[in-house]
Amino acid sequence: MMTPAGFAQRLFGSLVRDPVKTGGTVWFFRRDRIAVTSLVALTVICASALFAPFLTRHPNQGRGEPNIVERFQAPSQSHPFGTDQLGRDVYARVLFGGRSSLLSAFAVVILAAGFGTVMGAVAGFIGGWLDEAIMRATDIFLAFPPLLLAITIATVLEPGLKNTVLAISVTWWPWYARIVRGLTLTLRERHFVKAAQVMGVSRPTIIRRHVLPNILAPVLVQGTLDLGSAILTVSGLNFLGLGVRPPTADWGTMISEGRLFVQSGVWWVATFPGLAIFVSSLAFNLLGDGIQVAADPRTRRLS
Amino acid sequence: MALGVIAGVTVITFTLSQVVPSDPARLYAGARARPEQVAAIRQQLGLDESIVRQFQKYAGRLLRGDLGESFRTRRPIVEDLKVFLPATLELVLLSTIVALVGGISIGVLAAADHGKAFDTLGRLVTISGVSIPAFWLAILFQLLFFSSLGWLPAGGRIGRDVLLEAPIHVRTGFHLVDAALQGNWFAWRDALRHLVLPTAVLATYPVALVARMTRAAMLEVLTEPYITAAEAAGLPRRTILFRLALKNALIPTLTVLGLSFAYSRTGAVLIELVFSWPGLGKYVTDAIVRTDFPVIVGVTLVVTVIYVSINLVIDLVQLVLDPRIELK
Repeated sequence: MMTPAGFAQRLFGSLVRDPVKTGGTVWFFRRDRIAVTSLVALTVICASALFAPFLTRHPNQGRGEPNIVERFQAPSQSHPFGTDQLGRDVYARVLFGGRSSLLSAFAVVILAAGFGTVMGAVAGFIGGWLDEAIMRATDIFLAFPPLLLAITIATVLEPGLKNTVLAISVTWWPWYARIVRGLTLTLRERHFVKAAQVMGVSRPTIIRRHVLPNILAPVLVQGTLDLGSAILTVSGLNFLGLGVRPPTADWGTMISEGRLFVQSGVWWVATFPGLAIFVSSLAFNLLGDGIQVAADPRTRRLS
Repeated sequence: MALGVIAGVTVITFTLSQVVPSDPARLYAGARARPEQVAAIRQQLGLDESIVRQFQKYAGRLLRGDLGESFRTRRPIVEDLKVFLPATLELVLLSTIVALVGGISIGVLAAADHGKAFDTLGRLVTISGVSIPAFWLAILFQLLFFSSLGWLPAGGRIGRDVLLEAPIHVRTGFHLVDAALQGNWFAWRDALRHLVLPTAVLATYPVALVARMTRAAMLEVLTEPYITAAEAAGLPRRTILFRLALKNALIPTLTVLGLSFAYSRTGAVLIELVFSWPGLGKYVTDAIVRTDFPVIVGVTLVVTVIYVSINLVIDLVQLVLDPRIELK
């Protein structure tokens, strides 16, 4: 049985090349009880979304099958989170909703970080007019208030989870492009890159073999920090009805459905999915914060 | 620089309005229009001309301050904005002030208590602040302060009894300012009561952001020799923290102000929906439901221009505050 801290070591220990530094980062990370707890919480949340069908007696309701007879039941033993306007078990819906919410948050960060990293590496390494063009593009994208641009794009494209994820990624990649460009500019001057250039290795190969692997660690840290906001943004767009189509469960969609009945005393339909968003986002933020603090010698705290 | 960005933004909003999957002329004409009517409208709107010509026309209209008109209501978007923009600005300005005062105080106190109880508590609270979905917090506040306690109204900008008995005459569009100018304190109190919940929800995220920035900046400043000198001279702790250290720690915090304004503005879209606040956010969400593209694109453009200008102003203020920054 692997301890959470051991798991953290496996997950993040390999990110930092220098063995001395690795020991230091993980040592500090393990001492950060809040960050380790967050990692455990996230593992539980992801696992319960993954194994949702086995964790509830109403997997069909979780998938969207209505059960009108039992509509608006308050939380009880048989329905721990109550039932919604179609009589579906809210606990089952929250479990299944985690699938779409977590998956789309991961998808947003992977897409944005992937595209941004490639653009940033190309801009920083090749330079010249290409660098200028890519950086001006990031200026323009960063000029838009992020959520608003995502809303506009998601509306213009057909509503649906895929387009929502795409819309948010479009607004996020410039951040990664900028970080990676900065890192690449310093890498470009390092001796092993210069040596590869002198040996006649082609530019795409240098970027792929020597530049990208070395900027992976900071990008992954940034990605972990961004997962918290990704969940919030995805839920926000789903709340507006721009994401998943009913009857698929999603935390944001469930809140917007539950909101309509809050004034008539049905508090549980909107409350529980919101709690799920809050806890996941909080755990990602605390984890990202912990990793950042542990990895940065200037902010390390002895407590 | 800022002008270049705005030009680029225009190109993107134009592109967005071009890739609309449905035919704008058909949308404009309505569902039951005959093909020849659609064709006539296409000609009337200039949709049959080349893309370049259309962009020239679009840019020309924008320069004259014309954002086009709504597909649904046929009202000019600029006229609508005059009604909705002040409501949002009132909310955003108020929450920005709350965020600054609250965030800076928490940040300073956390830095002063570095590594101890308040600092740890502050870390948890500020990280919670950036993790909580604002639209959900808004619903919880409604549940608590309206449904359960009945202290504050659930939504809207002004009560019905005020509209009937002592209506506010619109001058600036800010209810608090207008009511005060008029000496209408009954309406002023009511407007304030309606502002409390949306402002609190909207300020949650920026408060956390400002607090974290201030704390980090304070920690850096507190290690500087001039602070040690002040401590050695026996100056009171409060003077050192708020008079000497904070002044220098505020410069990086200003940058976050721009970011937090952007967030307030976009977060307001969701929050205005929950609180039925008659501002830009509600205008946009209504437009989303009715697939009213000119409105969505127009509002995006206006908000972006405001956002870019605010960041420009903040850069200039920093230039004045910090003599080390030089104009390139």
